Amino acid sequence: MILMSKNEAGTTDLEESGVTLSDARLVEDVRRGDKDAYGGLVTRYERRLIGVILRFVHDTELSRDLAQETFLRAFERLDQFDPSRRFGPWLFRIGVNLALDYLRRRKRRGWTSLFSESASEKSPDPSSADPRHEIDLRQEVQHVLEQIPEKYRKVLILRDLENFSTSEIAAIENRKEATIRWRLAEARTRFQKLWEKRNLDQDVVDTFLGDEEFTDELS
Amino acid sequence: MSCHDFQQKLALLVGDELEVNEAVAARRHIAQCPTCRETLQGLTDSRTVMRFVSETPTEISGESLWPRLRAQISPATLVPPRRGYPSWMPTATLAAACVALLIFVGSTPIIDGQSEPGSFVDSSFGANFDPATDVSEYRDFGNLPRTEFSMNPGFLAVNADPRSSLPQVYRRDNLDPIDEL
Repeated sequence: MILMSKNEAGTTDLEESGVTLSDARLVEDVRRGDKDAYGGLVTRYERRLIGVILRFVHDTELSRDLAQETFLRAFERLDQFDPSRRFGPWLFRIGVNLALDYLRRRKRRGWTSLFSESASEKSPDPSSADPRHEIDLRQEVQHVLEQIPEKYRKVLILRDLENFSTSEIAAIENRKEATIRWRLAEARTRFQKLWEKRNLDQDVVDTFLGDEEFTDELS
Repeated sequence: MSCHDFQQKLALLVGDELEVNEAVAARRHIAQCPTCRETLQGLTDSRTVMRFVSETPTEISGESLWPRLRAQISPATLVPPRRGYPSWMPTATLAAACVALLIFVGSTPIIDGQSEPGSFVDSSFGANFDPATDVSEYRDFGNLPRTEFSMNPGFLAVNADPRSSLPQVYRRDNLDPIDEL
Protein backbone atom coordinates (compact mmCIF):
# COMPACT_ATOMS: atom_id res chain seq x y z
CA MET A 1 0.00 0.00 0.00
CA ILE A 2 1.32 3.44 -0.84
CA LEU A 3 1.02 6.16 1.78
CA MET A 4 1.84 9.84 1.48
CA SER A 5 3.35 11.58 4.48
CA LYS A 6 4.81 14.97 5.19
CA ASN A 7 8.34 14.97 6.51
CA GLU A 8 10.02 17.65 8.61
CA ALA A 9 11.26 19.54 5.59
CA GLY A 10 7.71 19.91 4.40
CA THR A 11 8.21 17.69 1.42
CA THR A 12 6.20 14.57 0.85
CA ASP A 13 7.60 11.09 0.95
CA LEU A 14 5.93 8.17 -0.67
CA GLU A 15 5.97 5.17 1.55
CA GLU A 16 5.27 1.60 0.82
CA SER A 17 5.01 -0.62 3.90
CA GLY A 18 6.95 1.99 5.86
CA VAL A 19 9.84 2.20 3.38
CA THR A 20 10.41 5.47 1.52
CA LEU A 21 10.39 4.77 -2.18
CA SER A 22 13.51 5.80 -4.02
CA ASP A 23 13.44 8.07 -7.05
CA ALA A 24 14.69 5.18 -9.17
CA ARG A 25 11.79 2.98 -8.08
CA LEU A 26 9.26 5.75 -8.80
CA VAL A 27 10.78 6.39 -12.23
CA GLU A 28 10.59 2.69 -12.98
CA ASP A 29 6.93 2.62 -11.92
CA VAL A 30 6.14 5.62 -14.15
CA ARG A 31 7.84 3.92 -17.09
CA ARG A 32 5.66 0.92 -16.51
CA GLY A 33 2.62 3.17 -16.87
CA ASP A 34 1.88 4.07 -13.25
CA LYS A 35 0.97 7.71 -13.68
CA ASP A 36 0.50 8.31 -9.94
CA ALA A 37 4.08 7.32 -9.21
CA TYR A 38 5.04 10.53 -11.02
CA GLY A 39 2.96 12.41 -8.43
CA GLY A 40 5.43 11.12 -5.86
CA LEU A 41 8.33 12.67 -7.75
CA VAL A 42 6.44 15.93 -8.28
CA THR A 43 5.56 16.36 -4.60
CA ARG A 44 9.09 15.43 -3.61
CA TYR A 45 10.79 18.04 -5.79
CA GLU A 46 8.29 20.82 -6.55
CA ARG A 47 9.09 23.24 -3.71
CA ARG A 48 12.83 23.05 -4.26
CA LEU A 49 12.43 23.34 -8.01
CA ILE A 50 10.17 26.39 -7.75
CA GLY A 51 12.68 27.92 -5.33
CA VAL A 52 15.61 27.37 -7.68
CA ILE A 53 13.76 28.75 -10.72
CA LEU A 54 12.66 31.74 -8.63
CA ARG A 55 16.33 32.64 -8.08
CA PHE A 56 16.63 33.11 -11.83
CA VAL A 57 13.32 34.69 -12.84
CA HIS A 58 12.33 36.53 -9.61
CA ASP A 59 8.62 35.97 -10.06
CA THR A 60 6.71 33.40 -8.01
CA GLU A 61 3.88 32.76 -10.45
CA LEU A 62 6.28 32.52 -13.36
CA SER A 63 8.50 30.11 -11.47
CA ARG A 64 5.47 27.92 -10.70
CA ASP A 65 4.58 27.90 -14.41
CA LEU A 66 8.14 27.06 -15.39
CA ALA A 67 8.30 24.32 -12.76
CA GLN A 68 5.08 22.89 -14.17
CA GLU A 69 6.60 22.96 -17.65
CA THR A 70 9.74 21.31 -16.27
CA PHE A 71 7.76 18.40 -14.83
CA LEU A 72 5.85 18.02 -18.10
CA ARG A 73 9.04 17.92 -20.16
CA ALA A 74 10.70 15.52 -17.73
CA PHE A 75 7.70 13.20 -18.02
CA GLU A 76 7.78 13.34 -21.80
CA ARG A 77 11.52 12.65 -21.88
CA LEU A 78 11.58 9.99 -19.21
CA ASP A 79 12.62 7.50 -21.89
CA GLN A 80 15.85 9.49 -22.32
CA PHE A 81 16.61 9.43 -18.61
CA ASP A 82 19.49 7.14 -17.66
CA PRO A 83 18.19 5.16 -14.68
CA SER A 84 21.73 4.59 -13.42
CA ARG A 85 21.88 8.31 -12.64
CA ARG A 86 19.97 10.39 -10.10
CA PHE A 87 16.62 11.86 -11.06
CA GLY A 88 16.99 15.12 -9.06
CA PRO A 89 19.95 16.66 -10.93
CA TRP A 90 18.39 15.69 -14.26
CA LEU A 91 15.14 17.42 -13.29
CA PHE A 92 16.95 20.55 -12.06
CA ARG A 93 18.95 20.67 -15.29
CA ILE A 94 15.72 20.83 -17.29
CA GLY A 95 14.30 23.46 -14.91
CA VAL A 96 17.35 25.72 -14.90
CA ASN A 97 17.66 25.50 -18.69
CA LEU A 98 13.99 26.39 -19.10
CA ALA A 99 14.43 29.39 -16.80
CA LEU A 100 17.50 30.57 -18.71
CA ASP A 101 15.78 30.05 -22.07
CA TYR A 102 12.90 32.15 -20.81
CA LEU A 103 15.29 34.93 -19.73
CA ARG A 104 17.07 34.85 -23.09
CA ARG A 105 13.77 35.13 -24.99
CA ARG A 106 12.67 37.97 -22.75
CA LYS A 107 15.97 39.75 -23.28
CA ARG A 108 15.63 39.40 -27.06
CA ARG A 109 12.21 40.95 -26.84
CA GLY A 110 13.74 43.86 -24.92
CA TRP A 111 11.71 43.16 -21.81
CA THR A 112 13.44 44.61 -18.75
CA SER A 113 13.25 42.98 -15.38
CA LEU A 114 11.71 46.17 -14.08
CA PHE A 115 8.20 44.76 -14.51
CA SER A 116 8.78 41.32 -13.12
CA GLU A 117 10.37 41.75 -9.76
CA SER A 118 7.50 42.47 -7.47
CA ALA A 119 5.55 39.23 -7.38
CA SER A 120 7.93 37.38 -5.10
CA GLU A 121 8.17 40.20 -2.64
CA LYS A 122 5.99 40.20 0.40
CA SER A 123 4.12 43.33 1.38
CA PRO A 124 5.69 45.02 4.40
CA ASP A 125 4.65 43.69 7.78
CA PRO A 126 4.45 46.61 10.26
CA SER A 127 5.15 44.34 13.24
CA SER A 128 8.47 43.15 11.86
CA ALA A 129 11.69 45.04 11.24
CA ASP A 130 11.82 47.28 8.21
CA PRO A 131 11.90 44.80 5.28
CA ARG A 132 13.07 47.40 2.77
CA HIS A 133 16.68 46.71 3.61
CA GLU A 134 16.28 43.00 2.76
CA ILE A 135 14.40 43.77 -0.45
CA ASP A 136 16.93 46.42 -1.49
CA LEU A 137 19.82 44.11 -0.80
CA ARG A 138 18.20 41.26 -2.72
CA GLN A 139 17.59 43.53 -5.70
CA GLU A 140 21.12 44.85 -5.60
CA VAL A 141 22.57 41.35 -5.48
CA GLN A 142 20.26 40.40 -8.35
CA HIS A 143 21.43 43.43 -10.32
CA VAL A 144 25.08 42.49 -9.84
CA LEU A 145 24.42 38.83 -10.67
CA GLU A 146 22.82 39.87 -13.96
CA GLN A 147 26.14 41.38 -15.03
CA ILE A 148 27.94 38.06 -14.68
CA PRO A 149 28.06 35.72 -17.73
CA GLU A 150 25.44 33.01 -17.59
CA LYS A 151 27.70 29.99 -17.10
CA TYR A 152 29.30 31.56 -14.02
CA ARG A 153 26.06 33.07 -12.69
CA LYS A 154 24.31 29.71 -12.87
CA VAL A 155 26.96 28.03 -10.72
CA LEU A 156 27.07 30.91 -8.24
CA ILE A 157 23.30 30.92 -7.76
CA LEU A 158 23.14 27.16 -7.32
CA ARG A 159 26.03 27.11 -4.84
CA ASP A 160 25.77 30.32 -2.81
CA LEU A 161 22.04 31.00 -2.98
CA GLU A 162 20.59 27.50 -3.22
CA ASN A 163 23.29 25.62 -1.28
CA PHE A 164 23.82 22.78 -3.74
CA SER A 165 27.19 21.10 -3.27
CA THR A 166 29.74 21.33 -6.08
CA SER A 167 29.22 17.62 -6.84
CA GLU A 168 25.45 18.17 -7.10
CA ILE A 169 26.02 21.14 -9.42
CA ALA A 170 28.36 18.99 -11.49
CA ALA A 171 25.55 16.45 -11.84
CA ILE A 172 23.03 19.18 -12.73
CA GLU A 173 25.37 20.74 -15.27
CA ASN A 174 26.65 17.39 -16.52
CA ARG A 175 30.23 18.64 -16.11
CA LYS A 176 33.18 17.45 -14.12
CA GLU A 177 33.39 18.73 -10.56
CA ALA A 178 36.78 20.35 -11.25
CA THR A 179 35.12 22.44 -13.98
CA ILE A 180 32.38 23.52 -11.59
CA ARG A 181 34.92 24.50 -8.93
CA TRP A 182 36.85 26.52 -11.51
CA ARG A 183 33.67 28.30 -12.63
CA LEU A 184 32.61 28.89 -9.04
CA ALA A 185 35.93 30.52 -8.19
CA GLU A 186 35.68 32.69 -11.29
CA ALA A 187 32.06 33.59 -10.49
CA ARG A 188 32.85 34.59 -6.90
CA THR A 189 35.79 36.72 -8.01
CA ARG A 190 33.67 38.49 -10.63
CA PHE A 191 30.84 39.03 -8.16
CA GLN A 192 33.23 40.44 -5.58
CA LYS A 193 34.73 42.91 -8.07
CA LEU A 194 31.33 44.07 -9.28
CA TRP A 195 30.01 44.31 -5.74
CA GLU A 196 32.97 46.43 -4.65
CA LYS A 197 32.61 48.63 -7.71
CA ARG A 198 28.95 49.11 -6.93
CA ASN A 199 29.78 50.08 -3.33
CA LEU A 200 32.40 52.48 -4.58
CA ASP A 201 29.95 54.07 -7.03
CA GLN A 202 27.37 54.32 -4.26
CA ASP A 203 29.90 56.04 -1.99
CA VAL A 204 30.65 58.56 -4.72
CA VAL A 205 26.94 59.28 -5.17
CA ASP A 206 26.43 59.58 -1.41
CA THR A 207 29.37 61.94 -1.15
CA PHE A 208 28.01 64.16 -3.91
CA LEU A 209 24.48 64.07 -2.48
CA GLY A 210 25.88 65.03 0.93
CA ASP A 211 27.66 67.95 -0.64
CA GLU A 212 25.30 70.91 -0.34
CA GLU A 213 27.02 72.90 -3.07
CA PHE A 214 26.65 70.00 -5.48
CA THR A 215 22.92 69.46 -4.67
CA ASP A 216 22.34 73.17 -5.02
CA GLU A 217 23.94 73.04 -8.43
CA LEU A 218 21.65 70.18 -9.39
CA SER A 219 18.55 72.02 -8.26
CA MET B 1 52.94 29.53 -6.16
CA SER B 2 52.28 33.19 -7.02
CA CYS B 3 49.52 35.44 -5.66
CA HIS B 4 47.77 35.11 -9.00
CA ASP B 5 47.63 31.34 -8.55
CA PHE B 6 46.18 31.82 -5.08
CA GLN B 7 43.35 34.09 -6.25
CA GLN B 8 41.30 31.15 -7.42
CA LYS B 9 42.04 29.20 -4.26
CA LEU B 10 40.88 32.13 -2.13
CA ALA B 11 37.53 32.20 -3.89
CA LEU B 12 37.07 28.54 -2.95
CA LEU B 13 38.50 28.96 0.53
CA VAL B 14 35.62 31.28 1.52
CA GLY B 15 33.16 28.54 0.65
CA ASP B 16 35.17 25.82 2.38
CA GLU B 17 35.54 23.99 -0.93
CA LEU B 18 39.30 23.41 -0.87
CA GLU B 19 40.93 20.14 0.01
CA VAL B 20 42.51 20.19 3.46
CA ASN B 21 46.09 20.41 2.14
CA GLU B 22 45.12 23.18 -0.30
CA ALA B 23 43.40 25.12 2.47
CA VAL B 24 46.44 24.82 4.72
CA ALA B 25 48.72 26.07 1.92
CA ALA B 26 46.36 28.96 1.16
CA ARG B 27 46.13 30.01 4.80
CA ARG B 28 49.92 29.85 5.12
CA HIS B 29 50.26 32.13 2.11
CA ILE B 30 47.62 34.56 3.41
CA ALA B 31 49.45 34.86 6.71
CA GLN B 32 52.41 36.41 4.93
CA CYS B 33 50.73 38.20 2.01
CA PRO B 34 48.79 41.42 2.71
CA THR B 35 47.45 41.59 -0.86
CA CYS B 36 45.87 38.14 -0.68
CA ARG B 37 44.60 38.90 2.82
CA GLU B 38 42.80 41.92 1.44
CA THR B 39 41.40 39.90 -1.45
CA LEU B 40 40.17 37.25 0.96
CA GLN B 41 38.44 39.92 3.04
CA GLY B 42 36.67 41.23 -0.06
CA LEU B 43 35.57 37.74 -1.06
CA THR B 44 34.36 37.02 2.47
CA ASP B 45 32.34 40.25 2.56
CA SER B 46 30.66 39.65 -0.80
CA ARG B 47 29.90 36.05 0.12
CA THR B 48 28.34 37.21 3.39
CA VAL B 49 25.95 39.33 1.34
CA MET B 50 25.08 36.29 -0.80
CA ARG B 51 24.51 34.17 2.32
CA PHE B 52 22.25 36.86 3.75
CA VAL B 53 20.15 36.88 0.59
CA SER B 54 20.15 33.08 0.53
CA GLU B 55 18.80 32.90 4.06
CA THR B 56 16.12 35.53 3.51
CA PRO B 57 12.92 33.48 3.39
CA THR B 58 11.20 33.42 0.04
CA GLU B 59 7.48 32.99 -0.13
CA ILE B 60 6.69 29.91 -2.19
CA SER B 61 3.00 29.60 -1.64
CA GLY B 62 0.25 27.84 -3.49
CA GLU B 63 -1.09 24.39 -3.96
CA SER B 64 0.87 21.43 -5.22
CA LEU B 65 1.45 21.36 -8.97
CA TRP B 66 0.46 17.71 -9.13
CA PRO B 67 -3.36 17.98 -9.56
CA ARG B 68 -2.95 20.22 -12.62
CA LEU B 69 -0.09 18.13 -13.96
CA ARG B 70 -2.03 14.92 -13.44
CA ALA B 71 -4.72 16.22 -15.77
CA GLN B 72 -2.13 17.13 -18.41
CA ILE B 73 -0.10 13.96 -18.57
CA SER B 74 -1.05 10.54 -19.71
CA PRO B 75 1.05 7.38 -19.86
CA ALA B 76 0.55 7.47 -23.64
CA THR B 77 2.75 10.58 -23.70
CA LEU B 78 5.55 8.51 -22.34
CA VAL B 79 7.68 6.99 -25.07
CA PRO B 80 8.75 3.50 -23.96
CA PRO B 81 12.48 3.00 -23.67
CA ARG B 82 14.05 1.86 -26.94
CA ARG B 83 14.77 -1.85 -27.01
CA GLY B 84 16.36 -4.33 -29.39
CA TYR B 85 18.44 -1.98 -31.52
CA PRO B 86 21.13 -0.30 -29.47
CA SER B 87 22.75 2.85 -30.82
CA TRP B 88 26.17 1.16 -31.08
CA MET B 89 24.83 -1.47 -33.51
CA PRO B 90 25.66 0.38 -36.80
CA THR B 91 29.23 1.08 -35.63
CA ALA B 92 29.72 -2.52 -34.52
CA THR B 93 28.36 -3.78 -37.84
CA LEU B 94 30.74 -1.51 -39.74
CA ALA B 95 33.63 -2.66 -37.56
CA ALA B 96 32.75 -6.31 -38.15
CA ALA B 97 32.67 -5.67 -41.90
CA CYS B 98 36.09 -3.98 -41.75
CA VAL B 99 37.60 -6.85 -39.77
CA ALA B 100 36.10 -9.38 -42.17
CA LEU B 101 37.61 -7.45 -45.08
CA LEU B 102 41.00 -7.36 -43.38
CA ILE B 103 40.87 -11.12 -42.79
CA PHE B 104 39.82 -11.63 -46.39
CA VAL B 105 42.65 -9.47 -47.76
CA GLY B 106 45.10 -11.04 -45.31
CA SER B 107 44.23 -14.51 -46.52
CA THR B 108 45.25 -13.67 -50.10
CA PRO B 109 47.65 -16.42 -51.28
CA ILE B 110 51.27 -15.44 -51.47
CA ILE B 111 53.16 -16.73 -54.48
CA ASP B 112 56.95 -16.35 -54.56
CA GLY B 113 56.81 -13.83 -51.76
CA GLN B 114 54.35 -11.60 -53.64
CA SER B 115 50.68 -11.31 -53.31
CA GLU B 116 48.96 -12.68 -56.38
CA PRO B 117 47.61 -9.81 -58.43
CA GLY B 118 44.12 -9.82 -59.81
CA SER B 119 41.89 -12.77 -59.26
CA PHE B 120 43.25 -15.66 -57.26
CA VAL B 121 40.29 -17.82 -58.08
CA ASP B 122 41.06 -20.74 -60.29
CA SER B 123 39.81 -19.74 -63.74
CA SER B 124 38.73 -23.29 -64.33
CA PHE B 125 36.36 -23.04 -61.38
CA GLY B 126 32.77 -23.39 -62.58
CA ALA B 127 33.75 -24.62 -65.99
CA ASN B 128 32.11 -27.91 -65.31
CA PHE B 129 29.41 -26.43 -63.14
CA ASP B 130 26.19 -28.34 -63.33
CA PRO B 131 23.43 -26.33 -61.78
CA ALA B 132 20.96 -28.25 -59.65
CA THR B 133 17.55 -28.65 -61.00
CA ASP B 134 15.99 -29.01 -57.59
CA VAL B 135 16.37 -26.00 -55.28
CA SER B 136 16.32 -28.28 -52.23
CA GLU B 137 19.77 -29.41 -53.27
CA TYR B 138 21.11 -26.05 -52.13
CA ARG B 139 21.79 -25.69 -48.44
CA ASP B 140 19.67 -23.10 -46.71
CA PHE B 141 22.35 -20.62 -45.77
CA GLY B 142 19.77 -18.45 -44.07
CA ASN B 143 19.28 -21.08 -41.41
CA LEU B 144 22.93 -21.54 -40.68
CA PRO B 145 23.76 -20.58 -37.07
CA ARG B 146 25.48 -17.23 -36.78
CA THR B 147 28.98 -17.48 -35.46
CA GLU B 148 29.81 -15.47 -32.37
CA PHE B 149 32.07 -12.59 -33.19
CA SER B 150 34.13 -10.89 -30.60
CA MET B 151 36.52 -8.04 -30.93
CA ASN B 152 38.48 -5.64 -28.86
CA PRO B 153 36.20 -2.61 -28.29
CA GLY B 154 39.22 -0.35 -28.26
CA PHE B 155 39.93 -1.35 -31.84
CA LEU B 156 37.39 1.07 -33.19
CA ALA B 157 38.78 4.55 -33.52
CA VAL B 158 35.24 5.90 -33.87
CA ASN B 159 34.21 4.97 -30.37
CA ALA B 160 37.53 5.09 -28.65
CA ASP B 161 38.31 8.03 -26.40
CA PRO B 162 41.00 9.90 -28.35
CA ARG B 163 42.65 10.88 -25.08
CA SER B 164 43.04 7.29 -24.02
CA SER B 165 45.77 6.73 -26.56
CA LEU B 166 47.72 9.72 -25.34
CA PRO B 167 50.54 9.32 -22.85
CA GLN B 168 49.46 9.93 -19.27
CA VAL B 169 51.12 13.34 -19.21
CA TYR B 170 48.62 14.69 -21.78
CA ARG B 171 45.52 13.40 -20.06
CA ARG B 172 43.30 15.98 -18.38
CA ASP B 173 40.57 13.56 -17.35
CA ASN B 174 39.54 15.63 -14.38
CA LEU B 175 38.66 18.73 -16.39
CA ASP B 176 36.32 19.48 -19.25
CA PRO B 177 37.84 20.80 -22.50
CA ILE B 178 39.23 24.30 -22.08
CA ASP B 179 36.60 25.92 -24.31
CA GLU B 180 33.89 24.64 -21.97
CA LEU B 181 35.32 26.15 -18.81
